[in-house]
Amino acid sequence: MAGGADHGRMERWCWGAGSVVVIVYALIPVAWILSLSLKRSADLGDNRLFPQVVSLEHYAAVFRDPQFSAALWNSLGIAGISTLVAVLLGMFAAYAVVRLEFPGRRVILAAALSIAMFPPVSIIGPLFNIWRTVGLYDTWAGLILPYITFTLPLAIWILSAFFREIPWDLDKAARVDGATPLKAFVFVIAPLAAPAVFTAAILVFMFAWNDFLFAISLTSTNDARTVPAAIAFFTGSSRFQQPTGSIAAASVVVTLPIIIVVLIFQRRIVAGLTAGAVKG
Amino acid sequence: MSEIELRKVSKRFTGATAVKRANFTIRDGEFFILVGPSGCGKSTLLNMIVGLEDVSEGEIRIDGQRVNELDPKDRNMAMVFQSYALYPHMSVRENMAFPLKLAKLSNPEIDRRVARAAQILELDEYLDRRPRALSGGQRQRVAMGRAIVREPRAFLLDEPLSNLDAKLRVQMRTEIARLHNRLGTTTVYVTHDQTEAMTLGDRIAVLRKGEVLQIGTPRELYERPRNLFVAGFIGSPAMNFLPARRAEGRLELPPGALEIPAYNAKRWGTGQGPLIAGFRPEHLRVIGERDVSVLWFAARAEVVEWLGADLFVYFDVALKGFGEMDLPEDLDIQRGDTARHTLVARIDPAHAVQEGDSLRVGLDWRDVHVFDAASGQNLTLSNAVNEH
Amino acid sequence: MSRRGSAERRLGLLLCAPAIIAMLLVTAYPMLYALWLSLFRYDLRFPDERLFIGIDNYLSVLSSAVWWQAMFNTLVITVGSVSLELVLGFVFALVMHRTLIGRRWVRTSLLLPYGIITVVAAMSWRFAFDPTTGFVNVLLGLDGAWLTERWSAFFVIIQTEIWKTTPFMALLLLAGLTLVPEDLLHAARVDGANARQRFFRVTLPLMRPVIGVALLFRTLDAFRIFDTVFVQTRGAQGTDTVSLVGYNALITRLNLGLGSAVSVLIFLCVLAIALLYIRGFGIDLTRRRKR
Repeated sequence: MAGGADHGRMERWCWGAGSVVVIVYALIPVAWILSLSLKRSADLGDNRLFPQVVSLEHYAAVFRDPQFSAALWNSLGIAGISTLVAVLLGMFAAYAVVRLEFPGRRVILAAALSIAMFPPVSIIGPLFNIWRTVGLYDTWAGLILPYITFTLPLAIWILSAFFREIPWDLDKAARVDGATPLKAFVFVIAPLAAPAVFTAAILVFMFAWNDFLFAISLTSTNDARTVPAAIAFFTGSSRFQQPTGSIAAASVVVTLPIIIVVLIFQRRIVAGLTAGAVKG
Repeated sequence: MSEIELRKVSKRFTGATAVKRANFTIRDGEFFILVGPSGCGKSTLLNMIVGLEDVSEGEIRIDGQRVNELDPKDRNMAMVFQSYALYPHMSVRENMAFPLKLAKLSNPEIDRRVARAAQILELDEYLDRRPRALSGGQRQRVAMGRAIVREPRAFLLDEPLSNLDAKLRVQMRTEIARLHNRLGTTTVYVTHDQTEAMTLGDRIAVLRKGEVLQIGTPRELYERPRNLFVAGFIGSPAMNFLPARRAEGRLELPPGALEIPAYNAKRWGTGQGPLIAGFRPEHLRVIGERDVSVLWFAARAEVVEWLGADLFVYFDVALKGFGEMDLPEDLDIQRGDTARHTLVARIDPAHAVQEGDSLRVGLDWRDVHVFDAASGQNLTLSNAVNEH
Repeated sequence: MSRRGSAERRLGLLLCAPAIIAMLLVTAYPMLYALWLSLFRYDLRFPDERLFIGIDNYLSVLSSAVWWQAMFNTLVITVGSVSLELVLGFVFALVMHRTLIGRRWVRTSLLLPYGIITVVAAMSWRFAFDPTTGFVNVLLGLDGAWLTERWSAFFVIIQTEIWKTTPFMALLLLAGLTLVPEDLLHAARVDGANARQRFFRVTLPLMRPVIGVALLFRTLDAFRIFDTVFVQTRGAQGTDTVSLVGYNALITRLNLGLGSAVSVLIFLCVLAIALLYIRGFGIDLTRRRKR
């Protein structure tokens, strides 16, 4: 075919250029906030992409602020515990759904699904009221509970999609090879399921780390206020003058760990995100 | 080494019976095949023997000892799975050592056994590889290796060759046969492939819909199939079937009638129901004397397959006059007066038959099995006298 | 039922029980409670005036201009962001699908917006569009305060949503694209279909289920939008969304009765959207796969 090679090269260039556009679009706001966080207070309004002088003053300010360190600690603890519990419960349920024959199988999938679509704003009022009466308002547990609930569907979904891919013949093989059910699980199934569990844990953690609505509705003080809420309420001294630099620095601080995790485990995360939707 | 005895073993799942009263004994050292189409219950039967499924009813005995309640780990049997079920996170060596470690053998003993198995199966070079890095045939061998290191009472193989390509399958087939000769361990082998069953088995059990239809040596099954299903299932190309009916000492077939000598008048039974005549492709001949025992009819070669050592000729027979008979549906015989049915003949490749050629085809009554169309029973077996 | 069968059932129920209970406890129960509260006049600032008033709360919500404007805003944001995300997501997915060299880079950079906290993303774009700290005005040679006017504020909000969630859409669609067998596209090519026909006649119909699922979840997500609007405008300049209205009634004004009515209405809207999609796309979400 005449011109076929040319055509192919043109096409490749087009797609290549497309990639660059996509990358720039994805990175620009991130780069901007990084740049803001490194500018001196005086330079914040200079509209330059690169800081004239790199300064860590905002970072220093952020870490001096007790509100922020408290929020960081709260976020880590609350997201961590929620992840642990949600993944554990999700694992039980996913194992049952994939491996066992029992009447509730469809019920749990349907329940998980409806909660995945459930609007959280619909229950913040009642939760606010209930939590106040039972003493969960403005506590870690008060956030952990809804986080577990709202991440369970994700966990169950990802885990059951992955568990379906595990060749369960191996379990039988181990049993025939002389293993007790427990040994078969420890030596054969657990090592194979670990990556799936890990993936689910990352995504669940990201959800809990990201939540804002529950965080501002069910907390009021440093006792349980998490990072997103803290950033949103970082109103400096007056309402009209926002501490842009501090917010930028705080944003970078809480974004960095997630970005690192995302970059290292991107393959797993993509697999986890698409597992439920594509494979049904 | 052991004898496996099944006493009226049944398996019921919710709403369905997977195995119906299986009752037979697998002898010590025997290579025993369970064969049948998918869903016939052969794998369920195997899983019950190894203990992966409960027995709903009946009893399984190994060397006279009841094992129904024993966990798989306590039965000391080794199994090869269709998927091989190799542990992906372990090397070949670890895969083979796994059952030995569970059995708490000493390390030198484990090394010795793994080395020996690897040598038998020519896996020495691959011991430190992961299963992922092996070819299909090598994975199959590792699965075999994991089975033999245990020196188990019996080998159970569940369609072990069905994931291999045709050539490897034949090669592994002989390898498994050789291994069995060498070790002499009782082996139960599940397959849906009648060729594998015929070539490997000392004895074969043919299953359909959870029922054992016939147990016998490959030769018995081929020459004396007890019913239509076994007749059609064993042999490749499959046995030819034609609708037939009885009429005063003759058997009427669509292409003509076969005379039966008086001394053998009851060979095909005496009932009046519709019949099915079955004959193997090699029993259709294209030359021979004009003997009274042979029905000759004209045919036109539609398709000719020349395979070097064999020549298959396919031709159609009009079912005129037989099109309205009540026949089992799974035979795929068309209904109606204009219907035709394809037969295949296996003839000497020396014949230069070409597509479109007209042939005279002969069928000897001694080669014809007659089945009752309703029950599928082979009437010839019980009634014939003086076979050949 | 065999011995193992009933043991299996018991184990299955046992393993699922904690998850089911956790899910019901924090959603079903509060939802019913919200339904109950919505029938009362109940303001936490005046808790003693609690009074059963039937559907009056619903009537006042449904007759208020605030609610309908918020509903309109929410729909604008939802339709605007989801439709653009679909198109853009497809473009991104195709770029990732077709480029061989930079594929990893594209995917990696697309995961960044996904990984970033929504609040941070909203802040980031707010700063970007800000006349003093931002670069957008400089880049476009404009001089406007985007977030101080209704429609330009919508633009910033929708654009933030798109930036944040297109990657998710693109990754889903990419996974769907890779499920379209190459052979089928080759066959279509041999049959004389050009690139456009191949995309619209072969690729798109085969991806229908994936697109359906992606759209369903994105639409529901967009409808529930809260974080971005809260951070960027707090609902000022007539950019309230239904979630914001609910939040303000419940948490800011502590009017549990009225707020609960809003909650229930939002729940019904979400339900309607989900049913609409499931009907329209024939998505069978509980489909049981062969084991």
